[in-house]
Amino acid sequence: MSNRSVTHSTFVIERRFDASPARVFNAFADPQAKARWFSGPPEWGPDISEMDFRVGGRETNRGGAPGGPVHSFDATYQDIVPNERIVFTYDMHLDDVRISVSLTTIELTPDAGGTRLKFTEQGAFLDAFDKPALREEGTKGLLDALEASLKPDH
Amino acid sequence: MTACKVVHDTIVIERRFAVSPARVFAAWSDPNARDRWDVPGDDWVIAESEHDFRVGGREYSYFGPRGAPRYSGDGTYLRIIPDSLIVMAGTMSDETGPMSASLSTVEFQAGGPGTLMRYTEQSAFMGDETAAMRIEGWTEIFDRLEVELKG
Amino acid sequence: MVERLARGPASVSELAQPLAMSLSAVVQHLAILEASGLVRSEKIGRVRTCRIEPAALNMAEEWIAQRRADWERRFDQLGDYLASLPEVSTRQE
Repeated sequence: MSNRSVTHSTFVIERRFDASPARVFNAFADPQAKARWFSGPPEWGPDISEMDFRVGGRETNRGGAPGGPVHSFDATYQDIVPNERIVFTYDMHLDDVRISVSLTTIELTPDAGGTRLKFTEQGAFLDAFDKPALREEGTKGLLDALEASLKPDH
Repeated sequence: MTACKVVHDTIVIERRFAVSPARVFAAWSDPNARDRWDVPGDDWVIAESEHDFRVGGREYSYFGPRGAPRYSGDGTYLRIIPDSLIVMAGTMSDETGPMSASLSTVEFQAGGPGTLMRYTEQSAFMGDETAAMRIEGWTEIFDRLEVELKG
Repeated sequence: MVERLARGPASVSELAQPLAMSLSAVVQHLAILEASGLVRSEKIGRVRTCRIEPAALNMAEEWIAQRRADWERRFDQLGDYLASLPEVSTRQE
């Protein structure tokens, strides 16, 4: 088999929230509201982010564990229907290496006073193309972080 | 609009061409070549197009049946590896609004005497279009690509 | 140590040499890396050679699972955030 390949994959996450679709939508649309929940794990510290919530607008978000690789999220909004639907594409970089590109759809449906959220991500994982770089940058960072956490004084 | 429904689907189309990956890749990267083959029928036309073939560059075309173009495809190149890979993302719309958003991957592999091209499109369909219709469209387009590569 | 292994397989003593660590500390450290599935070692004769497990390095599935886990975590945070919002006095029917 050739090493020139891309892995495609789709996954779905469904959640229900005790808040109206308008409130859930606002948590995606308003940068301050979004910053409250769209962030890395607590140990990552503050992310650096920028967003322009309109069709064709971009969003970037960078963060990472201290000493580890920088995780970058770069999105472009493809379609927005207020309180109902948000479609965006995003790519993920570890340091300078682009690892995956995804098409993401968020659908909001009213559900007995709350909101049902359906998240669908269709991704293309560019592993094979980035293999040497990924090994050097991404995984080394991961392993370094692991190694740091195993330090005797830790 | 109320109760908009989104259908997610992935299509994969593979084609073999009797020319090198470099030649197949060039049919995608050269704007003039691209406008010759990238329409789904002889009676279809491209009224306007922009192929800014570089990462971050825009990929746009306004096309449709001769005399009545009504579709527009608007996207961005996300990744380009010469002779190997093209990744694009964008939307397709008609006069009523967006029909789909797609992530498209085109892979070129040298194989046998020519090239194996694999086109994968991961789509969110927001209108009446289906994956089967999309496959039909691409089949027509890739038939034209084959003619282009024979020329 | 991991940096050294990323360049290629090495014996335990080769790994210990540039580090200010005792051989037993290195062995202990390697045992943890091995248990995590990231490093594999093999004993040939009297020499134990260590290498990074390639399968653990570049698995698409792992990356995709990571994407899912990221989103699950974000949605947990979204739920907490929405729950923290004040009640609305007028409800739209």
